[in-house]
Amino acid sequence: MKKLFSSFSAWVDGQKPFPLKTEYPAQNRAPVLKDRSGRSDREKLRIFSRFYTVCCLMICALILFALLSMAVSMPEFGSDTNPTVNEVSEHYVGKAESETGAENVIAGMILNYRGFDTFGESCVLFLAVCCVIQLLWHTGGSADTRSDSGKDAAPDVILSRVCQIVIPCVLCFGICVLFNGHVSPGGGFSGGSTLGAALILFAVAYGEKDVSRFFTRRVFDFVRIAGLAIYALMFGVYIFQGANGISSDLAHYIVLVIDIAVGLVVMSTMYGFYSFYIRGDL
Amino acid sequence: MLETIIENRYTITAVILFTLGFGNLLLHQNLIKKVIAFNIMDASTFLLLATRGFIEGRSAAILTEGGANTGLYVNPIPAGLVLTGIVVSVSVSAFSLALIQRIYRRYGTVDLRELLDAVRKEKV
Repeated sequence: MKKLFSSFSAWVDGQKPFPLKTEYPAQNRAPVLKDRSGRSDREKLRIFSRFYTVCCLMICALILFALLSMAVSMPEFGSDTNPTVNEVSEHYVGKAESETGAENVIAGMILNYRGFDTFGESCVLFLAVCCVIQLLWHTGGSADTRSDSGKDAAPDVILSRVCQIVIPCVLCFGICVLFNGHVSPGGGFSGGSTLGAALILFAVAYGEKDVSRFFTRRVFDFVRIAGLAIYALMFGVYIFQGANGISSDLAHYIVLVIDIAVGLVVMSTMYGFYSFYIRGDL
Repeated sequence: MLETIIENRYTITAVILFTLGFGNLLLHQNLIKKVIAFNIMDASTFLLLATRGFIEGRSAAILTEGGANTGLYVNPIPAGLVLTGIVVSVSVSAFSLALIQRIYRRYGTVDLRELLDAVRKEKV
């Protein structure tokens, strides 16, 4: 059982040997075959591609025509009598503050009324980063050797000086957006991606080695799993405590905690994408 | 006619963007360009959704001094839906770019025709 699990985790981490071919030998081209009609493969391909282009353009024209004829009969833009302005949005705007404690109606909506939806979104991000890890783990980064990747070259003086000033500001702004997501514009997704951008900037300016000193694979896994677990736990508590019957103060804290959990997941995901694309490792 | 077009300008822009993205998705042979075209299609959908929620003369759905007066704020639902869409589009782009990087390392090309050629030769 243990052996099975270890082999499975090795497969997930992509540690099994995979035949890597960096370049395909271009010299052994396929022989030119002729069939009964006397046309070579290359000629057939040319005819097919012309046919394909014409077909694509026709399909696009058809779609454009159909959608345009629909577009001109859509309800008026910017009118408050549109069918989209119904009792649901009125309920969200009118009751969001008293029921969820969030002044930012959108944050209250996505983290509270539609919390399962946002939980699914976080799972999508989690799975995306899992797939990227499985595809790019230990493949040694981009195929051509990048001379300017900062691995061997000395760090750029201008960049590192500017980053000394910029990175603290970006980090502070990200944390501010993350923690005030329920009372002002922002929230978990925007704050998390700002924090991820700060980490990426740090990695670009001072080399990925410096980031991996505190943001190791273990920390990365812990942060993204803990984010999802906190989200699931808090939302479960909220649902089983009676959802809308809960007091506004408690709902306020639940929204804040869920917001921070989403921010953690998004931050680690953003930095994970960058790091696995560049180096194939954290 | 012109009046209808001006009235529905955002919807028509979204439709044209969608068709441009779809056409490029079908016509380009470069896989990276296919991903870019896919992102253009995503952006057009977000534009359509965001404009559906707009109401003339109202502010963003963040409660200010006006309190919970429903007549002051735009429709918050499309904003939430756009957020969902952005997350899914980022995930799909990241996954397809990782696949393309893997394909490039195996076959040395991101052109679909050369790729098919290479795969066929490998089978032989």
